[in-house]
Amino acid sequence: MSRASPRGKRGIMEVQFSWIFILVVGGLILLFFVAMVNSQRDSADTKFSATLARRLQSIMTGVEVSAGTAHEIAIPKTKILVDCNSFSIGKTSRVFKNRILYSPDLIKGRELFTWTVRWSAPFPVTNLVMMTSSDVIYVFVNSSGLPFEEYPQQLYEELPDNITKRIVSRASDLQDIDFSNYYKVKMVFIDDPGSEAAYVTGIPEVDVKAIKIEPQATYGGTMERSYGQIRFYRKRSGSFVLEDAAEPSLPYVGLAMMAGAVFAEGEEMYGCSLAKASSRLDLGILLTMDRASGLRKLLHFANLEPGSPLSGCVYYSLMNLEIMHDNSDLSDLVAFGNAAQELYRQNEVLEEYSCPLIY
Amino acid sequence: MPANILRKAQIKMAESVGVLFIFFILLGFGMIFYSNFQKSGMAETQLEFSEMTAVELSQKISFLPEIACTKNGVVDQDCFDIIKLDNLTKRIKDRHDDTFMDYYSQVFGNANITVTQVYPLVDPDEDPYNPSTHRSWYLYNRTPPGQYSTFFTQVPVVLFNATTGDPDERYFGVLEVEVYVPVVTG
Repeated sequence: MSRASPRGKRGIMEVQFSWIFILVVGGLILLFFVAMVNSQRDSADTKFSATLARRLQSIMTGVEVSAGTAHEIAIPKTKILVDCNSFSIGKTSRVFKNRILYSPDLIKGRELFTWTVRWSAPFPVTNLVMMTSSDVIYVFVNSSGLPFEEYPQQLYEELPDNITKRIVSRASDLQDIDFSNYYKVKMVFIDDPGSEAAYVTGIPEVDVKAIKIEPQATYGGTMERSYGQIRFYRKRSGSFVLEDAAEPSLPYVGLAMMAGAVFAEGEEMYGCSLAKASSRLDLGILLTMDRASGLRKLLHFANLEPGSPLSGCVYYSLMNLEIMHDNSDLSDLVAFGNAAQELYRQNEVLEEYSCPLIY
Repeated sequence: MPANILRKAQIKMAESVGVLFIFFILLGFGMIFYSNFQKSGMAETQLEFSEMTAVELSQKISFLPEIACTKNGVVDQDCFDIIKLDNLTKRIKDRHDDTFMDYYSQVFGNANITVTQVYPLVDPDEDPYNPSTHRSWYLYNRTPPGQYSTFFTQVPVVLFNATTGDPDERYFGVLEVEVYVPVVTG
């Protein structure tokens, strides 16, 4: 058995110590850089999502103010989670405050579509923003022999062309659509949904939703000024069932809210936006009341000459505005609708006589 | 162990520690430089976003249906109705009812919003208590507590007085928006 000399032993120990030293210090340096890379990656992700969220919020402001316009916005490959009051990208959330937005709860894909619709009741109240993805499909189902049977077709035509939409007349026509290309499906009915849900395949049931529009009346004779109820459905065990049986329907006033129901994820989002919209409506009614009573007082005390163009201007709609104010939560839709119709009529008369208009 | 060998090993060890020490000092300098660079980038982004907020706000106000000129529900862009301006100013300033102030403080945030009629000038005889011949509507004002920076934008607008009986009579005005952004220290 050979024995190492004391000098050789020291050499071996020195070499071993050097290796241990290299391993420890090298490991520490490696750990330091790994931690730094990780923290940089996290901070880059946070920065990316914060910048994207801020940019998206700016885009939304621009979109919100331009009623009647549709926008197509290219987005990076990311997921945007949306609810009635906020949206979030990664770890960054942004609150909408008073913005009224209707959207699926998840936006993904390469393109984001927005459509801004002015909500009037009958005076302009605010702009409602619809937001969706190119990978969400909206299917309108025609029905015949019903009052307002033309509404699905009209609504389909109102929707901007860049939104993925189809219109069918029979449930069997749904077989021609390859639903597996989309991650969410929304169907729009004027009649009770039947066997249509069974034709929607290749997509989780939770992502298949439907609404039924139940118009009650319209002032001015157009869909834009119609009001009524919306029923919300979701797919369960191959057929459509009401989302909330305890509260089967929610009210709508005008095309903008009807469109909102089409784009909203479901009853919860629509209900939350409805609450925001009705409080906004109430402020609008109060300001319109101020204007109507102000104009009445001003013209009454103006000592107008009999031949003055303003001498024939009469403002009698304050009572209707009072009724609208009392029903601004839209719980009594008939009372609200009748008062809105009277206000609409009076404004038309005022326009005919070249009087200062109420709205 | 002989003393010279021990000293040799100690010198080697000190040499390695010294190299590491200098390495970490350089790394520290690098990190300080990088974080300062990042901070200045963040400050620039913050400034950019604050300026954007001021522009966004003036954009929002220009399209507010509650003050915009409308004809049977159709909004006339960049035109403010004088009666609506009067009404909204009164409602926001109403000390007995916070509903409007609460709502608009969420819309406008910390800002000062004024609309001024610049042409034609108001006849001082019509308003003897106001030495200024420019008629102004102080629509909204809310300043944040503590230190803040301000970002100012001006937008030309048209003002419409519905009570003259002439639907084409318009005045020139300017919308002034001052946004207050709290200064973040530390």
